[in-house]
Amino acid sequence: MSGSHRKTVLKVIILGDSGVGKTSLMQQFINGKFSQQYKATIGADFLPKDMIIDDRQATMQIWDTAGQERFQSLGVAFYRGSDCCVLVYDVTNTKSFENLQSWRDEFLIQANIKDPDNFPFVVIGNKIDVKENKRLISSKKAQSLCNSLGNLPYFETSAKEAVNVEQAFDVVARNALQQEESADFNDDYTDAVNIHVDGDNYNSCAC
Amino acid sequence: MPPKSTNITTEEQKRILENSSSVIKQQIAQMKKCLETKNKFMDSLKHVSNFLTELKTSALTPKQYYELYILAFDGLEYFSDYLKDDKPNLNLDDLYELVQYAGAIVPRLYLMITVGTVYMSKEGAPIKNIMKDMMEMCRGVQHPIRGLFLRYFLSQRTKDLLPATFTDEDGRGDLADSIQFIISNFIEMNKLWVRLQHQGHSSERLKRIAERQELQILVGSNLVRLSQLEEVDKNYYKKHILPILLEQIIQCRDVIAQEYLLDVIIQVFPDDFHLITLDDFFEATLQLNPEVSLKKILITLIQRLIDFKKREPDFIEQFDALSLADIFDKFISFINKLNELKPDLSGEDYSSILETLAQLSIAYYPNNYDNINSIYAYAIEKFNTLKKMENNQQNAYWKSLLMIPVESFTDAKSLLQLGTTYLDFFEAQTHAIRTTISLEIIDKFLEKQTKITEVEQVDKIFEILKTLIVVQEDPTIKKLGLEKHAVMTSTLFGNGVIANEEALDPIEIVLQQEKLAKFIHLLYNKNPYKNFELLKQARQFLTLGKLRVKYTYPTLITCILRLIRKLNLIKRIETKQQKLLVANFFKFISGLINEMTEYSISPPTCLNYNLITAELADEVALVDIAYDFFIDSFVMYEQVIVDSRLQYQSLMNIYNKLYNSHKMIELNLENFDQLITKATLYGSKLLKKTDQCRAVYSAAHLWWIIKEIDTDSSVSSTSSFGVSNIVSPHISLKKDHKRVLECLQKALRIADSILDVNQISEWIN
Ligand SMILES: Nc1nc2c(ncn2[C@@H]2O[C@H](COP(=O)(O)OP(=O)(O)O)[C@@H](O)[C@H]2O)c(=O)[nH]1
Ligand SMILES: [Mg+2]
Repeated sequence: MSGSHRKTVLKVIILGDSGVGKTSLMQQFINGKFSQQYKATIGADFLPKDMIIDDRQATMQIWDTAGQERFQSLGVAFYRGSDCCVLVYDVTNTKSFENLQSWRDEFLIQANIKDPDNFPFVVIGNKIDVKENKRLISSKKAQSLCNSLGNLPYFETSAKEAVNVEQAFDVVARNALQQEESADFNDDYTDAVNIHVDGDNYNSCAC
Repeated sequence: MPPKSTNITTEEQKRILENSSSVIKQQIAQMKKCLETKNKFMDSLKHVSNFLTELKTSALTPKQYYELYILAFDGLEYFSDYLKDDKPNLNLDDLYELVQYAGAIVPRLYLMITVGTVYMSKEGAPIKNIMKDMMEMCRGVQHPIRGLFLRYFLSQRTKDLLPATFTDEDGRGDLADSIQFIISNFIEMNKLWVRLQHQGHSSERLKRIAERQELQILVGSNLVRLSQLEEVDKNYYKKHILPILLEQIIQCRDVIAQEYLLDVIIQVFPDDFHLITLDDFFEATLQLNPEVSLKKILITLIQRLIDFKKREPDFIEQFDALSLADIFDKFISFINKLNELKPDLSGEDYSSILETLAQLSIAYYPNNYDNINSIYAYAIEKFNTLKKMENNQQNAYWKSLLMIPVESFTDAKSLLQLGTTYLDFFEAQTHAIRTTISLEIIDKFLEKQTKITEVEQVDKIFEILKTLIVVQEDPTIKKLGLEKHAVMTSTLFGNGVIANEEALDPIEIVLQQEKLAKFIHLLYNKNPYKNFELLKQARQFLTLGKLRVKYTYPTLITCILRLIRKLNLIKRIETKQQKLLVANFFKFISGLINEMTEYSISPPTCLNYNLITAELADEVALVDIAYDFFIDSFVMYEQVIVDSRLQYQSLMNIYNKLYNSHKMIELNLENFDQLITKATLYGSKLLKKTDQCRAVYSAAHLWWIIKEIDTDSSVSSTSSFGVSNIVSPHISLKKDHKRVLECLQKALRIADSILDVNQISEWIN
């Protein structure tokens, strides 16, 4: 199965407080566009992005989420099966930085991650295009948080001016791919067992 | 239809969910395998249909159902990718036909939407027809939860495939069709959602509400879709989208739907869209179910506009100036309509609406105080109507409205720019509310050290702070005449360190008064004369506190003494004219001390204020004034200091201040002699012999006064230890050997009569 000719689907979840620029980052990455307008996200939905990572074709399924609980009323079942989680904060908003860790913890619990220490996260500090005096979180401070959370890769981006967005998502994609490959192995194993146990006539499909 | 899920337990639901999940996973795995195998396509279709069959359940909560949906969704994504890539030659027309005959309706429709959307993505597909077809077919599922998810699926699958421009190629549809498609789906979903409320037993009402709240984002997602259409501008939105949405929302009459959907509209569409549709929006809110919380909706809207202004402060310039100039007016005319059509709107809701409105005005029009004034006018009106209706029931929710000016303006002093409506409204509140507000206002001013610089400002702020100053009339005390009695006893025995009243004040009153005293320091003007006027004006109010002046007058005195020192420092007490002006300062202090004395407030404290004022008067060479203050001190010493220990202490204080009155010695020795003669006499009249002895001995110093001369100011001024051993150069200001000797002899005589010689020599050393 691992030699499947089907292209790989990489599921990526973007989390963070509302207003930090999750939707904007995704729009910038996928469509190369930015809008100053603020439209709140409700629920969760994804956009696909086809990528080639070291000669391997993959589709990234990037899930944009609502930062506010009241707009996530059905829960977060879509966390399951993620291959990478992007944690975003806004460098001009201290609270959004302080909440990073709880977003991560919440994700690990809800997504039912088996091996939390090795699950790939990427941290993004967004809106670095703002004037220096509006910036409240220094690179140093952010970097040290990322180190303490297990040497998480850290990027500073501007969705507005397309700074570092590609680079950040490139690392997201690579880490997701690595994760997917290790998870794939486990999935195949369970499937095989289930099919065997089932013993129904679809067994013949396993060729 | 399967039986209703009414009696199902949570454990059972959990088990069903687990079971269905694993079936879906297995079937997906098998679907994948079949798709990899030649000639197994029809088998794979069967596996798809198998896992989709799990979505037929009615046994799960919406959240649980969503879990199954997510799993199935993943499977269908995989399946559709396969169709797209690997079967370019598969006749989709055929397939489309085919799935329509497959199994039960739920799996069939999921499959059909999957195939249909793959079809839509192909070159030259009859997009408009497919859209129509799918929309039509979805009517087949009328079970609320299943129907909502199915339509959500439709919306998710089609989102990138709907025509996105207003140009229609070969009748395959344009943006208007897409909008209509989304809106139709929205309307149908809203109906399903509302209908859920009316299903099942009435005892399950709360459960239904909970379920509906979980499902709400499915309905809202359609509005998100609309907001994502890039070609739609604000005018199109105003004309062709919002009216239909509002109509649907009004027509459904459902409280949960109305509150939620309006919230979503506010959140998902951009700010400039809202700015041009305020009227339409308001109009709609007036037609909602009476149980809808208008407050919640309006506050969400206003808050959004406020955040917008904060995020994009420059937007105003880009925006049509005209339509912006009247945002506030629009809200006000809406409030008018609201009062007319919904006179029963609760005071609590009304006040929080006014509150956010005030914040809006402050954000958008920071210098427009008329807006704020009119908000308080509205508040009073409502307040009075409610007072009549609710039988004088006063409520605390007005408090935060009154805190707005100090909390939302960048400069707390903006409070003082407001008109009379603020004060009127403030005064209508209970004493407890007024007290809290007054204290919080003081806190705000202290926190930012906001100075009060003009007399009119003093008037305004103290009209508010009067709450803290004026003693609340307690009818019980008045009737019994206790108050008077308390004053009288303290006059008769007015020798305590603490006046009787002080002991009676509860701690919170003491803290309040101390805070008020701190506030006095904020009355500040660079010009000392103007500053004096501010303090004088404050006194007009502080005096109303009667006995409470004991907490505030000392600060007032300290401030004025500081002003005098400042005038001296900048050499403004030189000419006769200048001296006359400063004399007023002293006169004012004298008045304050007299008033405190009248209330029998701690006599030693009053005496001390007289003395330190005398000392300063001497320092600035107003020796006649210094003399008067000494005389006042003497009168006080004679009349109100009765306790012998206090007498001794006070007398020592008097000696000390007299000893330092160098200017008087220089300029009016006659007065000085008069004072020290009298003071010496006091010493010999003390009650206890020991006190007499020490006092008279100390009085000797008054007759031989030496002044040190600063030759090297830097050394002598910093000198503390060590330097004192060096005999510094000095001159004698007064040297009356005879009197000194008299005093010492007298002291010795008294000592003789009470002590043995050893002790005397001991303390003379
Ligand atoms: N200056 C600046 N503004 C940004 C940037 N990214 C997003 N924004 C703005 O921040 C607001 C919120 O962005 P959004 O992507 O909707 O945040 P989300 O709630 O996390 O999805 C919008 O008004 C964006 O225009 C950025 O990199 N720089
Ligand atoms: Mg968003």
